[in-house]
Amino acid sequence: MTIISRRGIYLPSHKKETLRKPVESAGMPDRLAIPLFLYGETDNPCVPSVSEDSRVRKYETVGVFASGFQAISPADATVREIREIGGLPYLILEPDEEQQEPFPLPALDPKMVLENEIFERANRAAVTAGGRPLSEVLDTYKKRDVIQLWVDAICDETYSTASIELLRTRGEDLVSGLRLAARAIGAQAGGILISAFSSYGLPEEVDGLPVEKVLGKYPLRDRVREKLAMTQGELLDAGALLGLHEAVILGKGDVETLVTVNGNCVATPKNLWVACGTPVNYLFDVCGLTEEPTCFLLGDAMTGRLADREDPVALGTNTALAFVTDKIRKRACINCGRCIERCPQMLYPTEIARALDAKEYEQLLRQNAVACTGCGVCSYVCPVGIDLTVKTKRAVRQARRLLEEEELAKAQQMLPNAVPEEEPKPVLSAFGRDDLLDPVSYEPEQETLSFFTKSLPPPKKQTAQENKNTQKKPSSKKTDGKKPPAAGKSSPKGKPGGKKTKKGAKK
Amino acid sequence: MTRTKTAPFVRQGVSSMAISIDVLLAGLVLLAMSYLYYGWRPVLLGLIGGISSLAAQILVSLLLSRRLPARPVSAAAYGLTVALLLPPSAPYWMPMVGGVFATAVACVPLGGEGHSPFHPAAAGASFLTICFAGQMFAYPAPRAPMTNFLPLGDTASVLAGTSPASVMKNGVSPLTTLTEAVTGQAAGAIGATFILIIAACAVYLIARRAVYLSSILSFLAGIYLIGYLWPRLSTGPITSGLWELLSGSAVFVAVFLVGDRRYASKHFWVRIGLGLLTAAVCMAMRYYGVYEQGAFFAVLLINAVVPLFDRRLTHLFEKGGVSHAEE
Repeated sequence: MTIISRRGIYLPSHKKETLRKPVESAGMPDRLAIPLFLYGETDNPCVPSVSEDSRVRKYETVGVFASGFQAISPADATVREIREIGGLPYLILEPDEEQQEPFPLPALDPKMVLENEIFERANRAAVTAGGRPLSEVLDTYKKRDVIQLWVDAICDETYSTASIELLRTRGEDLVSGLRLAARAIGAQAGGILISAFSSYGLPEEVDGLPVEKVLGKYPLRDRVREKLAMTQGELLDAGALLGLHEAVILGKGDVETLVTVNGNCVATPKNLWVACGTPVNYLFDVCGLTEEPTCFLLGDAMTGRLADREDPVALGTNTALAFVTDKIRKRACINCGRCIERCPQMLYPTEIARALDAKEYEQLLRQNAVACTGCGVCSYVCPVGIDLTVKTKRAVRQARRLLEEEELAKAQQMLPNAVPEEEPKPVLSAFGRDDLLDPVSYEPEQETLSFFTKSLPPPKKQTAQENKNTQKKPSSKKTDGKKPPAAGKSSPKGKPGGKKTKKGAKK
Repeated sequence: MTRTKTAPFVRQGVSSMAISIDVLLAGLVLLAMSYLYYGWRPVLLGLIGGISSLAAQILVSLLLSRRLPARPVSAAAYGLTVALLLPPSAPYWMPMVGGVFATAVACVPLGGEGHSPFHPAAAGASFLTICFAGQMFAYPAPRAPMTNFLPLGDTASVLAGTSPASVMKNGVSPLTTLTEAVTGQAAGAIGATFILIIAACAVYLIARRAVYLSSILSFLAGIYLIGYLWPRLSTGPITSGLWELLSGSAVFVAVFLVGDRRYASKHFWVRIGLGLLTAAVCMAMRYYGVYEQGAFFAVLLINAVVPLFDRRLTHLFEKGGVSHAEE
């Protein structure tokens, strides 16, 4: 598949540092932070089903979401507390020194398994795709009459090779997961899509399904998705499909993710199997640092976000980066038009930014600002270093708000006597983090609010001293521009590599 | 890897100076060619234009309490472009006045690089044409390379030449051949007669993404088309169209002023339309105006309406968020 367009960009590649290298296990850190929220869900609060100091086994349910989706423990551990990290609620677990062999769920026969059993198992095993439960994603595809599913192993950004390595090391399991997903929605398994630039040494087909090479500029995934949509095809994240395979065939929970650990100050870049909830700095303890990084990123360089050293790795995270950064000299726009020329959505970023600054919100709708996907191309090509992506993301939020208001006004006109029902407030809105509900509008420098512990039972009883410490604790989002403390200083129990599971590395 | 708070955390690394440096390099190539034909005088004129423009930018920035540009290459490029539109025998104060006007009046106070409503170099050249039309079009006769260089001092004894544009203004065919006009052996401005070298510069600038090919081609096509449809010469429409292209600094203005991406429209079809419109205005000035050429006046007029077109009319041509299937 070749996608020809003058829009988009060819990104520099740093993949060879981790490509075709052995995949290792990161081991177990001394703390795991299980998210009590879903990034892609607006009204799906999670209530912990365990109490403080209770013991949990690997794959045991630790929280139940309003939708019925479950949060499960990635290890044998002791529940410590509910804590906010970056303004968001997490259940903190302390893994045991010795990990026991977990009790898997009963394995299902892939040829006999029923559609609803696949959905149920995906929920029970906490399989997610793009921050949402996989079952919901599949349900959406089913409603949209998707007739063909493809494995998304397109690593179109600068550093990530996790999906490619998944294909290289677990190709047959990926195909098995794809077939299960396709069966669940009554679609056909299409094959595996990879970027042509990273296809060297990969097979032409896996288990009877073709490995299709896609050639084109970044953002390639969005374009492939558009092209597939024309034939009612869709992409599914490789990690999610592997999780589905393990859940159905092996009865395992989806508690680990393959993460590419790289950056300009990482001693040995690697692809690591990481337990969900592992702190970022732990990964860099495992890989080693050549010098003190000035920032950590979760996600790749084009679309990732700044992370605090204690931020946990969530399922679906496939890149963790550490950088010593250069200063960027920002100057006024010179009206060169590179951003407009390269925008894959054919938008006019400078005009959108101007309209936002001038509060000409109608102009945002006229410019179709809601079409922005947040790919970052405009900021990447800007010769004067303007963060246009930040402005376009703000504009997207503003434009969406306007559209919602317009729709509401229309609805009220149609039903003048109707009493509007009060909508339930989304749980993340309550934390003032609407931005996190949508990756496009996510902005890390936003202020974080911190009253989660007030709304979630059971809150930890804090001593007066602890309360004082909590109040004094500075916001974790204020780290940019400052050097974070040495990664090694807060290393987990033991040395890099931490506790190893008895089971050893996930193969 | 750059220090920012939000994605993307990698940048392409193209400097804001890139466009100006490319224009400057292309201008220096034309100055070097001019040296081969006229000696050191045009080189000095170019240097004076660049330096005076640069000095004016620093001075005006200080006066307006604005942050001093770290590397004010763009100002030097504007000054050099003005100098390249002067005759090789022009007095030394002319590029100085033109460069200072370009930066101190038409650029910095009106919003700076890329935001001024007028291309500063076009403004500088227009100002000189209006104020000193006599000196502006007093071209010396073209010489063979490396012989009889122009004097560095007084140019009163220099043999005056007639440019193809001035001859055509009277409805007469130029005395020079088309080949001579292409190779720079016709009377004209310092940088505007070396058509082949300008074409090479255009290829470089297009490859470096400093200029828009669509703007250049639409402007030149418009000039040729009007020359063809309403010929001023009795030799036929094709020859007339070609002479309109090769005379009156049209090719130079197309590459260095009309094509400049900072002052051109950001939308393809708007660029094409405005390129044709610029050509129409330019030709109207040639046909009915006082001066033998009007290319930089046309650029100046059309520059002023570019933001209007970009903001108000672009939705007629392009709509954001169109899927790539439709692209």
